[in-house]
Amino acid sequence: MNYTSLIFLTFIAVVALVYYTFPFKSYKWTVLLTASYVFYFFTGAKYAAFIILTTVTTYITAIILDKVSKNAKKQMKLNKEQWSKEEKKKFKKKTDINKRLIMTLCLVLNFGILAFLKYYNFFATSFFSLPTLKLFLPLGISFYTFQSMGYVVDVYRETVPAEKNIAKLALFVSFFPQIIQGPIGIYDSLATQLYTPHKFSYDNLSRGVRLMMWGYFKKLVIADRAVMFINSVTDDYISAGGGILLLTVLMYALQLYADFSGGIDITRGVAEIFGINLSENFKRPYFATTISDYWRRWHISLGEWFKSYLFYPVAMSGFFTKICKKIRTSKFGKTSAGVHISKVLPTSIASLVVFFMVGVWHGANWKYVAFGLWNGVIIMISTLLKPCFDYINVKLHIKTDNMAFQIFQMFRTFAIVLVGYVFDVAPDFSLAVHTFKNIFSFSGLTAFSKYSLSVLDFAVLFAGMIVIFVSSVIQEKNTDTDMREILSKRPVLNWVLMFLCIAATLVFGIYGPGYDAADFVYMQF
Amino acid sequence: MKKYVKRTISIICLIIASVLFISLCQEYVFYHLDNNSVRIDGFYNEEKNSIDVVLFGTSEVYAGYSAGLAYDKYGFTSYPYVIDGNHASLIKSQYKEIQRTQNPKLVAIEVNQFLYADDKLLTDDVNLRRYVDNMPMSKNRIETVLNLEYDNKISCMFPFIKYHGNWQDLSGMYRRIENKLYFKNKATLLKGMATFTGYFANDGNMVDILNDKTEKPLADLTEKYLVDFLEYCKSNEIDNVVFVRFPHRVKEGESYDTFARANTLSRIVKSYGFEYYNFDENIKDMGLDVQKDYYDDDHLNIYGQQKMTTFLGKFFVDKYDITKTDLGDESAKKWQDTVDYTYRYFEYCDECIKQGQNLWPYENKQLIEKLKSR
Repeated sequence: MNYTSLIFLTFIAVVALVYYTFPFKSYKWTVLLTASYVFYFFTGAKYAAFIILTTVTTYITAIILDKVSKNAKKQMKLNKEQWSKEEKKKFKKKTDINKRLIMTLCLVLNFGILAFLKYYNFFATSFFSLPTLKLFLPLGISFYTFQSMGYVVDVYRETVPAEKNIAKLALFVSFFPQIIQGPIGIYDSLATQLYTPHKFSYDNLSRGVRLMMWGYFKKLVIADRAVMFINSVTDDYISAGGGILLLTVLMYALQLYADFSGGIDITRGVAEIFGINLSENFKRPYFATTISDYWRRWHISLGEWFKSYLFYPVAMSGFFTKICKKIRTSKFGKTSAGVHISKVLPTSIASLVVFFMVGVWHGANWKYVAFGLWNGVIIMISTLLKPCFDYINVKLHIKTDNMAFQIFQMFRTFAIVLVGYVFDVAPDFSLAVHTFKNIFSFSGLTAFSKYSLSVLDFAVLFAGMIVIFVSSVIQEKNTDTDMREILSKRPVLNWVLMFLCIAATLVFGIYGPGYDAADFVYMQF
Repeated sequence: MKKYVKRTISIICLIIASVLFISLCQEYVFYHLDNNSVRIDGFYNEEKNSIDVVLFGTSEVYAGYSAGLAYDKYGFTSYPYVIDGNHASLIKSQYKEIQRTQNPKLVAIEVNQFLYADDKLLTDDVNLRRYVDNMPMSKNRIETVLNLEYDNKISCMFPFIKYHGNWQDLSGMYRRIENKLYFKNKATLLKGMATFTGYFANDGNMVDILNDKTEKPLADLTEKYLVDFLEYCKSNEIDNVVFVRFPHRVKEGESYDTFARANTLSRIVKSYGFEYYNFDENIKDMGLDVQKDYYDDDHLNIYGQQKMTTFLGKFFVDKYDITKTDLGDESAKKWQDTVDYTYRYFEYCDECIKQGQNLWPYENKQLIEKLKSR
């Protein structure tokens, strides 16, 4: 069920009607659960087995972890007086090992399924001469696996209690607006919202619909138009000149942002209709002043997930604690460089590991590994060499807090991001290298007219880009205030913009017979 | 309370503005303009219950028949409710459709849409849309769209979905708006007539088909739709329908197979008590010159059109007693204008043919302005 189809809109309307008229208030969440599974079955019943398996294993693991934790606490309380400090420490360690084992089994099973389906053919052909298999990726497997495994880790850490109701957990795993492309939810913030019965609110409906409209504008007018050009180039990548390839990468930057953020806006808009606030996944990423800042603004939920469940465990692991201690106590550790390195080494290495995994998450191809490593290396180097850059700024009397420098930083960061995008847009790693060679050899625009976008299409793209830019500048200046809040204070402008958004999407949108409706980019993950 | 009132009014205004925007765009801008849209649209602008004979069929009819000439010679009104590549699946809908605004004494169905070698056109949205896109919204239109053998039915119900990409053709957009405004509530002058002023070489020898009763089966779904229509006519006691075949240059190969399928159709149609006339057999009677009166094997040019119209008009009068229509002064004047412009059109096309120009002149504002100045 494509988000851009009339069936989807009808589906939302029906589900909303049923939800808000459901007579058993405390069981309203069952409407969302039913809708989620209906949505999932629409894509193919055979995929449902995987999400059910994940749900069941997640549920059982969380219950067991919860039980083990509670039993351990009970035992500790009972034997508080009898046990010595050593015995208590030993018992705690044993409990922790057991919990870790249980959690690991669940993580290995679920991530194993994801890894097998996503990466078997890649490893089979890249490293071993094994036959490839006809494998399919169930809808949203990356997203719901990460979301549910995050929950398992949270139960292990005892930051959230285990959900006793398997049906409620099933809703958390399968909540339909976010199944296709996130955002990846955290149990703590999402679950309460899912299970709490919400009353109909005009404000929620209005906000949700407006956000959806904005999402459809970005997706249908901008993203799907830009992808026509990108596809026509990648269909015959070798013959494209450097100028065309550079333009393609720039278009890709626009298309990827419009597609992904547009999809997330639709997702969040749908959720908001039901009174559920999903976390933001984008905050004007191309305004980032550093790569780290970029990843705090782009696919925020993925970044947060990796931060909570990979970055901190790696950075704060015993291994790095020992290394940093060694550095600090060494001769080198007495120098200013040594002091700096001993502080930032764990986070630098952890960043590299995280971004390697981010690359791998994106897909089974060396180009994605390169994409991830590129970002990781940049962050690692910039973290390690920060004192050097600060020193240079001081020596050159560069005022780092003024507008000109910040704009320079934005352009610099955007250029670095574009390098990563070259790996994304090229069909494979070798063609990514070919792209750099062609761009920097200034080999011209080739026959521009052979690529499938007219001058008017480019005009629409440019106008759309200006619209996004202006709204982004307004939001950035108003420190993160939602555009809807800003517009709600100007009702006439608000309604006029809504009409223009509808009209522009209907006229300029890429939809209908004769157009190949492009799937959301992140749906493939 | 005031907040709720304001909010309700705002929502209603937005809905009205959006619906109005889509409706106006669909009506005036985002539609496909060609001879089919002008012809089908034009039918609905005819005065109610003023048409004596309606013709169904495909391009053979609009190329081979002139309603203006028929009125001039015999005094009855007629209209070709035809589209390029018409299909058997649409005939019943078309019959019901014309009944909404007209009550013709005779419906003549040119049978070409029943004679295709296969059922491919059944799902060809280009051809289906030539009819469906131009039907006004009605119960019949909804039923027709729902019964189409075509997946994207919603875009047939709302053509805006298909044609919104037309905004890129800015000059075309201007022409579409101009033509819609020009024809708004105005009956067409040429009554759907169109022709080609070029010529496709007459290669191959014609086959003698006189008394040839060879049959070839109709395409499966086509036969199903034919029988369905005949059953519909029978059960509704419809007796003002006649099946005809306009004259073609029948040669070895596909055109002969088509002729053979026409024989099969003849048998089926007659078994239901309806009449069928194959005017392939009357080429000499019409005085048609197979070299000079056709622009290709299947279509008459304007010279052939005039001969065919003269013959067919007399056929309607003699066989079906189609008498001279008693029109009011205003209607009579409009039909007289049609006659006038028909002859101007013949002259114009004659000049184009003699100058070797390959044109497809059909009624639009620019052509009428051109004919007006003659």
